[in-house]
Amino acid sequence: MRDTNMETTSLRDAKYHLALSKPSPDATLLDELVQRFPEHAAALTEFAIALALDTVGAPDEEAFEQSSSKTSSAVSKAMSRFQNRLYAENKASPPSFPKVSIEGNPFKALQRRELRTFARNINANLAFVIKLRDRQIQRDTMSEGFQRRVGQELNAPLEVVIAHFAAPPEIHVGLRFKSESRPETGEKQTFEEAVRSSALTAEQQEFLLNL
Amino acid sequence: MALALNKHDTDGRRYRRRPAVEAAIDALLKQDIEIVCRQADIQDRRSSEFIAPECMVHLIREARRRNDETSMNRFLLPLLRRCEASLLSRVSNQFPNAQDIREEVLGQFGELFASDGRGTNPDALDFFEVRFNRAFKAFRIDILRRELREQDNRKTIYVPLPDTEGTDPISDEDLSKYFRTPPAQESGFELRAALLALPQDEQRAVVLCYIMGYDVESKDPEKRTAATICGISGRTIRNRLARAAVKLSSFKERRQ
Repeated sequence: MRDTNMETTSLRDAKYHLALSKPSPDATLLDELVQRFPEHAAALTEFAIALALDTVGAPDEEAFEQSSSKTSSAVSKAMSRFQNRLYAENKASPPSFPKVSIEGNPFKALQRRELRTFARNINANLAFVIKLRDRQIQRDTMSEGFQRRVGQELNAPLEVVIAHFAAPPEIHVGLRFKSESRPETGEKQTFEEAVRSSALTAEQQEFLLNL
Repeated sequence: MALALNKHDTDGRRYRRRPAVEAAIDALLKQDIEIVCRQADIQDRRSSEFIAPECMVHLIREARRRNDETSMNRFLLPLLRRCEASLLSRVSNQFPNAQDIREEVLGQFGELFASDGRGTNPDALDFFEVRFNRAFKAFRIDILRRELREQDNRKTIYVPLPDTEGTDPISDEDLSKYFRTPPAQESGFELRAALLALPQDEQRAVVLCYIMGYDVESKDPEKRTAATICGISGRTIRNRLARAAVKLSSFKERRQ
């Protein structure tokens, strides 16, 4: 559903809940939602009626008939709208992760905000990403799937990511120290230790350990 | 393993993809991109290489995160073709300006991918990775209703019609004679067409009572019923159901 100011996220999400929960909404499902969102009772009811009516005589889900291999004018126009919107979105907020060169730390160019975005994209948190950036984790304990994911999110070739994690740990140049001497880097953690000790939720830990 | 979805349902549970979709995405992400692009063009659902639409959505979003426009285009085009095929059957030419509506649905759907991860609803496409067909149905219906409302307010804004309250009330037992076979169990698009042809007040009563399962009315003032939802008496709902039943009976006879 279109992201408009006229429709709040809660109403939009409730409509999707109606559609996703059952093949056709029934009184029980609608009443539950109306109880939860009384302010949207009328809108949800009208939507549920339309949804239920649409399902009559139709299979559980949309019948996606054999589509044409040719591109119709409607599809061409939709592609054109997609590209125009893409251009506008990229202009408004350029891609977060520039391509990195084969040398160097692929995290180097990332500012704190971009590190947070990266953390969100891999379903982790900033503390864990700092460990990745500073090479605090043993590469041979990371799964290939995880390293591939990091490469995808950083837009960096896999070999750059592997080389980065295999290098000795480092203290980030932007870090300030209280003592006069630069602190030494400690032993690298295993991947599992790093995941377990980064204040990640149980779900995030499970996700990362299963990559 | 694919990134977890961010959307939560109204009970606060995080939406999850179906296990088969998760497994298919894992396999696709390990494949050579050229092979995946070739598979994306396969339209025969029976083919072992056919890519489920939930996976297509994931692949496009993955490409969006990497800002890989080439891959986005290569996956989005066949997905839009599939959506158009669905729209041709579900937004038939019986709707005024059907072609414009289909174009609007496709156009807005394409734009969702361009704005994925941005704006006030960055995870809007999560629903399409859970159950694509149901999510697309909701998306289509929402736009269809808005477009019809813009075209002709009378078609979607409900205006109660005057009813004859003076006639004898019809009992639920009598009504059930008309609906021995509940409309929801009838098959085929013809029944839907017959329901769509009913006046809106009758259509609403039928959907609420016989498809969604609401009671006509209740002695419990707290209970939502067809009568409370429509803001009218139970007797009026029964009259509307009776009129609808007569029309649907003649529809059934024509079919037999």
